[in-house]
Amino acid sequence: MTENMETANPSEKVSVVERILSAFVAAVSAEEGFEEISHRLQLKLIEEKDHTDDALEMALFGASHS
Amino acid sequence: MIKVEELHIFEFRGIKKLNLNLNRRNFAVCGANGTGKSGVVDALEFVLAGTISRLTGKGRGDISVKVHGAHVDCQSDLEKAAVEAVVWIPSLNRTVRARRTVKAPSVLKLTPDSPEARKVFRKLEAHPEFALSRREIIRFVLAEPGQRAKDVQALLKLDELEALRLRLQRIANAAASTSKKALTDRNAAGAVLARAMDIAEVADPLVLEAANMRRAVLGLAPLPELGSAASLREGMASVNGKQASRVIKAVAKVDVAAATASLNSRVGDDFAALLEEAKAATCALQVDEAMLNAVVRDDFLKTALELYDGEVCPACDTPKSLEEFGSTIGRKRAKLEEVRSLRERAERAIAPLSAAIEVDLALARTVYPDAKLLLDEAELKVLADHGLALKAAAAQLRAFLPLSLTLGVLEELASQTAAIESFGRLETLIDGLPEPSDQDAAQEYLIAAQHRLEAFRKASATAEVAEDRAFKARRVFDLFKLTSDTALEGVYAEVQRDFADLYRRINSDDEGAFEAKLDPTLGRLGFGVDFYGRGFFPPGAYHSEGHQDSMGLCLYLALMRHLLGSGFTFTVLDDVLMSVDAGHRREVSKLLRAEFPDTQFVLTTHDKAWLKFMGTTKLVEPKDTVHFRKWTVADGPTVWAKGDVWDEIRSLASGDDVSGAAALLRRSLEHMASEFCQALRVKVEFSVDGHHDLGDLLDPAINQLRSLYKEARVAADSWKASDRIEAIRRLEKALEETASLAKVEQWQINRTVHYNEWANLHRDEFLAVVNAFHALCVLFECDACGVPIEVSPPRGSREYIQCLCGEVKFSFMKKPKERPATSSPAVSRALS
Repeated sequence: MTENMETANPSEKVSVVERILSAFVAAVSAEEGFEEISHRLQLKLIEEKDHTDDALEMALFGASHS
Repeated sequence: MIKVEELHIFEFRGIKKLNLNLNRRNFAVCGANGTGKSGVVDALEFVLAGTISRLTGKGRGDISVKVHGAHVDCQSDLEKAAVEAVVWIPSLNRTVRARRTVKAPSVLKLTPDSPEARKVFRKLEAHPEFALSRREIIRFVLAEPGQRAKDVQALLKLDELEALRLRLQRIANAAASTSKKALTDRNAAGAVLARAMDIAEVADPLVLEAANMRRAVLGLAPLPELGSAASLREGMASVNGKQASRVIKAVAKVDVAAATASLNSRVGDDFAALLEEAKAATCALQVDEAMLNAVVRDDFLKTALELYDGEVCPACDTPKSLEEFGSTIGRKRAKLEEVRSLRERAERAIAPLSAAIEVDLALARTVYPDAKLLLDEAELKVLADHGLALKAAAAQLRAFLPLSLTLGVLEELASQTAAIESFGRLETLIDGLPEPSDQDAAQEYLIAAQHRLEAFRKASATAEVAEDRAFKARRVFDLFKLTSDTALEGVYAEVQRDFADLYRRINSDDEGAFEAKLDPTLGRLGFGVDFYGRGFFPPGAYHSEGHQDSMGLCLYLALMRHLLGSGFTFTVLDDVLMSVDAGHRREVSKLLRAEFPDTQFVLTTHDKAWLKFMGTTKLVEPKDTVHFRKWTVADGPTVWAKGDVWDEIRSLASGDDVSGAAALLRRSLEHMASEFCQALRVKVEFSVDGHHDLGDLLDPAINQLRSLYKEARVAADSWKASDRIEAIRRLEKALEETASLAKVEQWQINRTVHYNEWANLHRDEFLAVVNAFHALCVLFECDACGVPIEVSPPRGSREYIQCLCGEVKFSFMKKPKERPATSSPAVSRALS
């Protein structure tokens, strides 16, 4: 769904949701000790567009989350 | 995303067969109510997005696309009920033919097919809001703030963010719960360790001091510090890491004493008071069956919320959006507010009892290995049963429902002391064990302490990890809330600016300083609009329906532009401006044309004047319109095409249906005459209901055309433009001859009698009338472009009589008279 949306600025070509997710990941990466979490969030939420519980737990807690 | 070139509809909704050429340009569908306009809207939505929102929205009951999408006479062959569209995809610079059938709405056939083209159609399926009716658009401005927030979020696809927020919240809550449990386990392990070492609390100095005392007895060097891996038994040979397989008297004694004391506390007044309170609170929920059912229901609803995967209802497997599902469950749970309050009270009252049982269970588990070595089988079974009963009781109190079982557990708690005797017997047996030597006692002490220290370290590590996860999950959730709220405020601010700007463009005459406020707070989206500088009010408070219509349209356009940006290339506006007055409709047309030059608008209207404005503002070219004249179940809409209607009239008459042909002739002439009057700026006798019959329109139209030709000829004469004069004379002559032939004036003498008398004419007599009127009507149109000749401009001083293509174009401007010669120098100076 989000992959299809474009913003008012044609040059950006990213959706409102993607913009917000990018801002979110940037905010997480700015937190001390959250660098790895931000990388995993970037991978799951933005690149793989996987928003499932499993993907989020993997992003938050790493591969051994379960 | 796309533009539509052609639309072909077969056996779909109220349409039997219809072909439209949209040619990637703006397109208008005009027709009275019930002539089939919405069928075109449905067809576009169906072929592009695979759905028909009019059939699938809220309150549609058992209506569905599959059952009701086909024409009513085509229910047995849904394969034939189909829509095809030739679509141009700008991003691919490619044209594809799309087809869907009612039999399988989700199956899209693309020719030529390609993953890229399918991706574009998936976009369209995700954005069915490209086709909106007035009712749907107006909801953005008139909705209750909470509902508006949901509608706007759904339009902007922000509901996805809400689903993500809920998931992050659920993970954060679960992590907090896990952390709490891990901390409890750590504390329990600490208590077991402290009891075994006979120290007040688990603190490194106390542990070291107690351990080093025993190590000194064994002649072992004291441990300088208690690191994370240090062993209290360091230096002790031949002892493996496991718990000793014999009873360590000192430790066993304190464990049994603790277990006995805990169990004995159940007969005290404090415990009895807790028990009574818990039972009373639980019974309050059980006063009647209805209340009990509500408790069960509330529990079910809570479970349903937890199990919802964001797409399908966990109870019935029906697809449900997050918004729809959350709203349904929330509404039901709100009704159970009283029950929820009582339940929370009962759960609070049960919590300390539950904690006590957990402690008893932990103690029973600690004591059991020693009991296994000392008690006989029967006594051991008593303790084993005690442990199982504690485990079952703890589980039931956590589950809470059914209430009868929870009450049963509470009833038995005070009397659940049978194990006390076994504990007493165990204590006696432990006391009877020989006292170990100081060295043995020290060794046993260190073994037991090390074993429990390791358990404590493990529990501590687990708790630490759980606490770290809980902290991070909560922080990530908080950051998500913060960033999404901030970003959404930015989105709303941009939409607000764009909306106000668009609205000002339409209403510059009286609301040039208009402002608006979109205020997102706590899941609501407040919407205030300026009312002539008197303050901000809800849109429905003071503004007229017409203004509200244009607000809805502007908000929709602002949202779509923000959502799709350059991808906003196609939209269908289904009769969205019905309450907007004529002047503002013109402004809307100009706005759409100027602000959205790359968007293909398909507009439907029942209002011919609105259609005219679309034409005069060049929003829609005359050739890009279709006019529905009538609709029947069997044939669907009949498209207004002048050639066709004359053929149809003649066909009816030839088939001896003179009566039907006469009725059709009269309706068609009324329609055409009204078009001619509009084009030629004819003054027509006022009618309060806006209805004019043929007699009111045709004669004035003929007189006006006659007068306009004369005026144009006089103007041409002033310029001595002989070719133009000759051309106009030919047109005047043709007009006089055909008007005379049609005997319009004669029919006009008593129109009531004569028009109705057409139905009584003989077929050949009637066909003569048809031919005469056909020839007359042709004279109101350009031979080359077929569009009615019109006066330009449509308001103010008349300048030209002309057609669309320019083949007919005569000026009304006369040559100015030459200035008389002057002889007086004074006069010359004055004139210069």
